[in-house]
Amino acid sequence: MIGQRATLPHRPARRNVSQVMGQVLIALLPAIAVHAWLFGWGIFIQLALAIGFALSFEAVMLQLRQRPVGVYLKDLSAVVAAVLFALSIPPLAPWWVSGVGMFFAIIIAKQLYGGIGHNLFNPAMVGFAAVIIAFPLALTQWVIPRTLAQTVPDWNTTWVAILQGPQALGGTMDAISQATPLDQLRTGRLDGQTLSEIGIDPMFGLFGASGWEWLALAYLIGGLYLIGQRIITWHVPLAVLLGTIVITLPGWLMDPDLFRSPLQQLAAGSLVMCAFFIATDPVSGSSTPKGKIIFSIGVVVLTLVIRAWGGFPDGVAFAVLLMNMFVPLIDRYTVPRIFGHPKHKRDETRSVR
Amino acid sequence: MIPSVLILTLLTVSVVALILWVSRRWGANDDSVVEQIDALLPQTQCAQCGYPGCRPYAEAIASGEADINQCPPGGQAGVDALADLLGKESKPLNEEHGSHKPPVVALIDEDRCIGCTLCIQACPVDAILGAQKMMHTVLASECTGCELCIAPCPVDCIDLVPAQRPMIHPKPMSIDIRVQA
Amino acid sequence: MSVSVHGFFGGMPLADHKAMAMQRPTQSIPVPEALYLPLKGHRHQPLDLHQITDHLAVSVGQQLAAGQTLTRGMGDAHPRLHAPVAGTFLGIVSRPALKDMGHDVPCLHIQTDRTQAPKKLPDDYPPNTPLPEITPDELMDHLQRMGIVGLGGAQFPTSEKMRQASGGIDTVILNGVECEPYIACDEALMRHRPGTIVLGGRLLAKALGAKRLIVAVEDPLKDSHGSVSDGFLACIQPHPLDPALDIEFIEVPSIYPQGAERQLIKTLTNQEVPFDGLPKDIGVICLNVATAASVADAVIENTPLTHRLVSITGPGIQNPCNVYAPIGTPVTDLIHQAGGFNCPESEIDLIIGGPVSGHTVSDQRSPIDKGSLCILALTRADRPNSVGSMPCINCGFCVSVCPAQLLPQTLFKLASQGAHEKAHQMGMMDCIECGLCAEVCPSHLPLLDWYRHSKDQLRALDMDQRRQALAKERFEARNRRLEQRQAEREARRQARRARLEANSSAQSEIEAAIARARQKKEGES
Ligand code: SF4
Ligand code: SF4
Ligand code: SF4
Repeated sequence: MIGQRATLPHRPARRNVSQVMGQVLIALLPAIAVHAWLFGWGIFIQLALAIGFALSFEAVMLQLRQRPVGVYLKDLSAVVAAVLFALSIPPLAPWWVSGVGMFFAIIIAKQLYGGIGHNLFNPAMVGFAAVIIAFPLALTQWVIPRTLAQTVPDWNTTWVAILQGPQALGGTMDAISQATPLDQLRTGRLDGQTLSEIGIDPMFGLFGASGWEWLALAYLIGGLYLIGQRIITWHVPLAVLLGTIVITLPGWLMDPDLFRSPLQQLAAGSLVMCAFFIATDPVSGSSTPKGKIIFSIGVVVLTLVIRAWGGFPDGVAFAVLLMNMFVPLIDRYTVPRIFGHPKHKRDETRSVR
Repeated sequence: MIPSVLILTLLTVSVVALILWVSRRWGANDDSVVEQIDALLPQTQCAQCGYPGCRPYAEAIASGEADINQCPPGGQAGVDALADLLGKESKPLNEEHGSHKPPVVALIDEDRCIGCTLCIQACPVDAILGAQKMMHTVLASECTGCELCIAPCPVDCIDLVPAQRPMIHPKPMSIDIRVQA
Repeated sequence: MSVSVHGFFGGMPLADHKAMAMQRPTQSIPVPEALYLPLKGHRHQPLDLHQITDHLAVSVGQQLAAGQTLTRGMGDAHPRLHAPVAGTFLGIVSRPALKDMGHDVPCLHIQTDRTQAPKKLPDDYPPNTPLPEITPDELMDHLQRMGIVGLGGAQFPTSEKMRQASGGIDTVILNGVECEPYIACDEALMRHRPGTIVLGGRLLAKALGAKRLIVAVEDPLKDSHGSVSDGFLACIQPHPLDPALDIEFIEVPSIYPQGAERQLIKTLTNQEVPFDGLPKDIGVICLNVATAASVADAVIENTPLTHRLVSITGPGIQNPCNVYAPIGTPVTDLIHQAGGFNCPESEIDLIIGGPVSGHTVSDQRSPIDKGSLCILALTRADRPNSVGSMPCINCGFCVSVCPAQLLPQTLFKLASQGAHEKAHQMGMMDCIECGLCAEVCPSHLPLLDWYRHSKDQLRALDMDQRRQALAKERFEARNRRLEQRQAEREARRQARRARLEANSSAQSEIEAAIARARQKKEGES
């Protein structure tokens, strides 16, 4: 209306938060498909559980915090966190894993910090870290991928395992599940075996983790889609992937018995997912381009350290959370050079004119 | 056991002493304190604080003679800034000295002015131009709106008009969407 | 020598919509009943009414001829104004300001003589028009007398810009890149008067001693009449009078905000203008093509700047077009010329400038000034569905488009917390107000509105601080003077007393002598 102030820009509807989050979900579809092909029905039930928990927790918290529930549920950020979480946990994990994970992700990490845009830590990773500490056993029992077992658990087994817990299946559970390649590597190393001794196991496949490499590929495809859609910039993925290769290559070249190959580091475990979907979480990540690179290198280094010497098979979640704490510091020291300003900041009194 | 306790105590005492000494040193220089206080005062020079100008008031604050809440033109924000500088609790503006008003400038009605020069003598910042039996005028860009020229004028020809302020683009709507309770 | 086109950081292509206003020929508007020439050239410097009256060159009730000088000019902020058409000067009145909603601006009110024919967009000069003999100083004085200012929006007096830049200018850039979607007034000018623009550019280049003249336009400016470049290419051969001048015509990619001065200079020279400097620091001066044309008109035809091309466009306008209108025309008259709105006024958003960085026009009675490029009418359908905004999700979209290489999300957080000083340290004043950050923000935060608020606060703060410093200085000077006077008076008093005492002692000596004499006498007798 004439005479009524409108805020800028005066433009037709533009991309909004729901659409951005929607595109992240689209980019996760290949990974979900590969996951289902490798490990069976589990992922769908896990997705339904995680999304259901996430949305209900979010709705309750929004109501309590007197925020418009509809507006904030529609932004889909809780759904993205839930999907990332569901993709990180074993496909046959019992339902309470999702419940506890989403409780920490949505209520503690997100809403108690002030809701979307205010969380200091990556919600999905907070949830994952919480369950890996709370249920270490349940989280190491992964279904044997189709590439090894030639089959996947049927609907019934999956259903029972998730709803009643793995004990309900008795011996079947042991037959269909095994440790993840990363876990196997860790226990092998603890037993004093060399990498080539451990590596004969068929579970390590061609590139270091049979089946898992397809998952990594799916994340890569989805991630490239996100870059194409300009949802994420190249900084984080490139820094994570290149960082991993550069850091692990010299050791592997020197002694492949002692150090894992870069390809195995990427293919087994969740570094590729981290590169495109976790470390790229905007809210808890760095704001500046240089800061994003530093953040990513930090995540890689910490992940590799935890993999090599830590108490958990994979360290992405803890690495990301640790680096989240450094984000304010990183941001402070990586403020980009402003257009027209000299490269090296001199002590200047800025004029207002 | 005993030596370690001793060393620890010694360490603590010396660190505390060091901190106290540094903080004393910080605030020791009297001159700079007056300067810093003066820099926070609005320089209206209106004497409402009870001192003949901002600098005298600054000196009075520094010597502990005056309280920090006596300057109406500075408003609450000014009191808060002073409290912050001096590391004191802030307090509400003392209304005895006057209340905070939006900025004004004096305007002489040039038809009524009789050229008595009384206002010129009252103006603390020499913002009035004129001579005996000649029309006087206020330099709006120099006037601080202190009102000191109003009382001396025998024909009441000086008015206070709102000072021209630069335009401020309004804040956009609040961003926090809340359910209307 | 040819210029290669570099890029600048950030920016984003936007659908241009220029064809909307270009579909009709440029029109002149019948002389409006009344004109209101805004006196406020600079919104950050409050205007003093005394100053205005001192600089008026006409008196109330005076008959005006077209082109007559109205104000003598008051420094940079208020360049000279001239009567666009014949009429009567009725005094100074307040009109609603075009850009600052809810504020008024003092205007010179002219009652026009409606029987006169409207002024048409002048014809183009042929490419071989000889350059008149004029020294640089004469040219600058003349431009100041003719009230020539930057027509790209900033309205900075061209003469002043030249004075600041004189010496060390190597390249003159004529900016024909229209920044925003919809705005097409420069395109219309470039199609009609390429020769005039180049002529103006040559005059400027000669006066500044530049060796190169670059005319920059956006690359896709083509329509059924061909590209704008055709017109320019006809008139860029070296001129017999300045054979040394190298004239180049360059098409730059249309990436918003390519038309912003510093971004254009970066694109053409790959150099950044220092943040605390001027383009002349790297040997460049950049002027709008419309400014160049008005320079040519002022020199060749001796016409002051009284009219300009304005795009009246947008989906809410019946017949979008470019209008050649007198400065001071109320917005209503312009919209009327373009056939009015095509939907109820309650559905219209009226904008001055472009959709990305323009200002809301609150009142159709507001008059246009020399920097008004475009009146844009948007309808409901063009407005974002205003569900309000979400919190910032730090997605970084704004960082990757910001041409000033700022961190818009950080600036926003600081500005909305009222931490303007901190925002200043993060470069708030380096924001060029392009509005791209708000354009891409998925949370639909009103980023640019916050920056404008914060920048205004900083300017007000700065003004207060300078006023305070001035008051302090004057107070101390006065105290010193009073003390000195006091001391002088004291010294005089001392001197007088001393003199008096000296006098009295002399007196007593005389008396004593007399007494002695008398005693002596008595003793003798
Ligand atoms: S009350 Fe007046 S004179 Fe006293 S400090 Fe404030 S402005 Fe200065
Ligand atoms: S585009 Fe908007 S939501 Fe994204 S970082 Fe910038 S301000 Fe925040
Ligand atoms: S409006 Fe300012 S902060 Fe935003 S993109 Fe443009 S220059 Fe950067």
